[in-house]
Amino acid sequence: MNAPPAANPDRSLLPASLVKLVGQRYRGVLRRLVTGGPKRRTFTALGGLLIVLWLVPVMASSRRGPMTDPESVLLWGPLILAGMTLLPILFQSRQSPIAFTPAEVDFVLPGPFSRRQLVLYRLLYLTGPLVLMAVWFGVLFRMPSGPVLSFFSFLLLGQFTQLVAMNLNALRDWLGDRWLAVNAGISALILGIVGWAVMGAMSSLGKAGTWSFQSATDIFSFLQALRHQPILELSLGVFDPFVRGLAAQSIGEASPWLGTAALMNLALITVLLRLDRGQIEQLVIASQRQAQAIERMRRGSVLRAKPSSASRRVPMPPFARGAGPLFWRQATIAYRAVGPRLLTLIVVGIVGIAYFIGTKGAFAKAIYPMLIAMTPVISGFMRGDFRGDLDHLPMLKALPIPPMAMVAGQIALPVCILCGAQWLVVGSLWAGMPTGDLLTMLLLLALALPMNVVMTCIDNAIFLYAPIRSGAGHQAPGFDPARMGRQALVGIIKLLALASAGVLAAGPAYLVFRTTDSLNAAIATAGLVFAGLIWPSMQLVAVAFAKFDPAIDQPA
Amino acid sequence: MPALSLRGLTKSYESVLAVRSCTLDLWPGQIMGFVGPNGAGKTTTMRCVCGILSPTSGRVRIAGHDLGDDPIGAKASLAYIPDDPKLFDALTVWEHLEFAAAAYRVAGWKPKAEALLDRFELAEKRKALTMELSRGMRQKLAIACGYLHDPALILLDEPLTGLDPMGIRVMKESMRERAAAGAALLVSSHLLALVEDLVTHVLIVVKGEQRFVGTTAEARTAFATREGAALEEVFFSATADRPTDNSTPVNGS
Repeated sequence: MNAPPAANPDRSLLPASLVKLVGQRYRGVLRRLVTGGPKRRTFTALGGLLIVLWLVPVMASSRRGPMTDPESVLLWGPLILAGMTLLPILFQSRQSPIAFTPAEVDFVLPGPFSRRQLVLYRLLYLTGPLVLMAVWFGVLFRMPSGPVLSFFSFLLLGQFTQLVAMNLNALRDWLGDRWLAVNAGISALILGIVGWAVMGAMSSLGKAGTWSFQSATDIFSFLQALRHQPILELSLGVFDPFVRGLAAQSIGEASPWLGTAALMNLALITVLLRLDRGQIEQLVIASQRQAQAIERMRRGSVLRAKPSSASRRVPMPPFARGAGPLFWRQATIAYRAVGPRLLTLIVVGIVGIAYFIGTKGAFAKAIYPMLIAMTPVISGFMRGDFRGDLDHLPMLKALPIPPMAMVAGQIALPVCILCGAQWLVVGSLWAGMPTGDLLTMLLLLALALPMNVVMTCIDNAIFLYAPIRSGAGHQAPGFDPARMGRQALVGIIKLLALASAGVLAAGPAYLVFRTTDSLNAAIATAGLVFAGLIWPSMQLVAVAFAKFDPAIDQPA
Repeated sequence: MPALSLRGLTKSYESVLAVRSCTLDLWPGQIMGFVGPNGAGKTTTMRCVCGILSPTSGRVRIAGHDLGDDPIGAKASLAYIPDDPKLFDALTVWEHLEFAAAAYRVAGWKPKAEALLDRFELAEKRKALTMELSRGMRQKLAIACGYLHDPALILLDEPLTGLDPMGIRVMKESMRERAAAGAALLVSSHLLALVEDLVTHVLIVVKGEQRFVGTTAEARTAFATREGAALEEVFFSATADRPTDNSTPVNGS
């Protein structure tokens, strides 16, 4: 029997098949924008409309609006760039930019490609989002060099930060166990430079040792002094070509800087390929790690519980028609993910900061209503309810728990967290300045509870009517107009709901205030109106939950 | 009283008819193999039966509880184990059972949970977070949670996928025990050879249509070309392109 003909792999720097795959994947991204169910199409249209509504006036005003100040770019640009590129070292980020999606791991990595070819393929693929980012920033920040040059400057700049991160990752693979020592060395060097510069800045301001920030002007003048420290000027010089290209006034002035920046990026690509150990296994490990993190995010879990956290327990509350076990499950998961140390740190941090602000006097008074007003915004970021249970919704629907108990059990955790945080802040503020009206404060705190319930219900109802995955965009680089449209719609609905609830509560509260001339009575009335909205809000979520159809509503 | 009674169960999505007028009775002690090609509507039917999806029309009764009128009673009498069970990463194996016991209000659940863990070789993993489990172990845990409240009806979607040979044997034995104890089981599987010796009845669906429902012996009589034919042969014959035979509901036997 004849052996099959030997494969003839493409040994070029970047095989044509991989280039083709990049093209096909971008076509897929575009296809995704115009396909999908009616809800997705509506969101895409809304997102597209918002982009147009934002872009047209921005571009129209670009001819007459003020330019971004080149001096500010030169002053602060290197500092921002340094932060972007060096922070991953200090925090030992394990997130690798040379990571592949599960589909790539299954279909591309086993292919006849070397690690170098795969890395270059990844680089090419990642250029797409960078191009989009460069266009976006080019429109957003009007640079004196004009839109074309600023586009190239932003593109090179984005590429540079990405390449530094990739090189660090490759260095980590290359050094193996020695990486920890090298990373510690680099971190110590960075901290040393920053520490030296801070000392220099304090010294130059003549306030070494007794320095205290009394106002924003103080902070700004300190940062300016810090930026002009010779050690920092020298260290940040590496970013000069990028920011000078951005701040240049003409093509002639920008060209040498952008040329240098391009050469630096090329050098980084060369180093990246030289650091190559030829092992694909490292890529697979990094990819799996990243895929797990993304998968966790897609499921709605923000934090990850460590296996060692299994001993942390939350006691089982009473059954409460089924709400108890549901709350217990959410609370246990959240407690395991956060852990007692971080939880203590957060509580101590909140109490400390709030107490400090409280001692500052009048400002603290403004915090009370501000805290309540922030509820709609903060509740949007909460998880631990239906929003973190997208993959478990079918299981929840199969449980023998009445709908209202289901809603109560699911939303209890975020409501408790919101109330707990607000009460903690207000309590600490009051402890810092116990001169305000205690009854008013207590009434405001009581008002927070129904408001938190109503807002959490609105967030959950919207989620169940139009569910979304947190990290759904990871497979499709760039922005997703559908996501943008959905976010805008959610914002509008929440605003309308809040305005309606506000009008409902404000009318009776105003009448009570006019009649009794008591602010406390007015707050109590508003609280009662909000409390009356709890039941219909929960009903709204229960209906949305009942209508949720995993076969069509559960995003892939 | 049948553990599961379907009358004209239909589920449609816009122009797609996922399940068309499914009618059957499944009695305690019966194990019904639910077979059909990919996209036949098996999972949709199961999801309708357990209340995850709302049927477009038709009635579903579980152990005497009408799913439309008394969803809580109906759901409390069944267990649904999907093909790819999604567990809670941050809960331990034991806590999954604790949650199931709390949600279904199982009194004296601990000895039963211990026995189930032993049965499914999960006792050593009781304190482990489920994120540490293999796919097969996760499958076993989902099944153990489903068994904990002794449901009258057990719906299993591809229960043998991902299990090792020992796991398959244990799983099949446990299904037989459940049936002997009076539960009815509806088992969807593509692994016909593996479920052949397990099922007493068979429900065959093609493109949402019920092609056959009856005992395995009746299925052989209706579709097999020779005596003692394998279930696989029955399946191929029944799912071949031919007019639908909506047979009568299965009677208790």
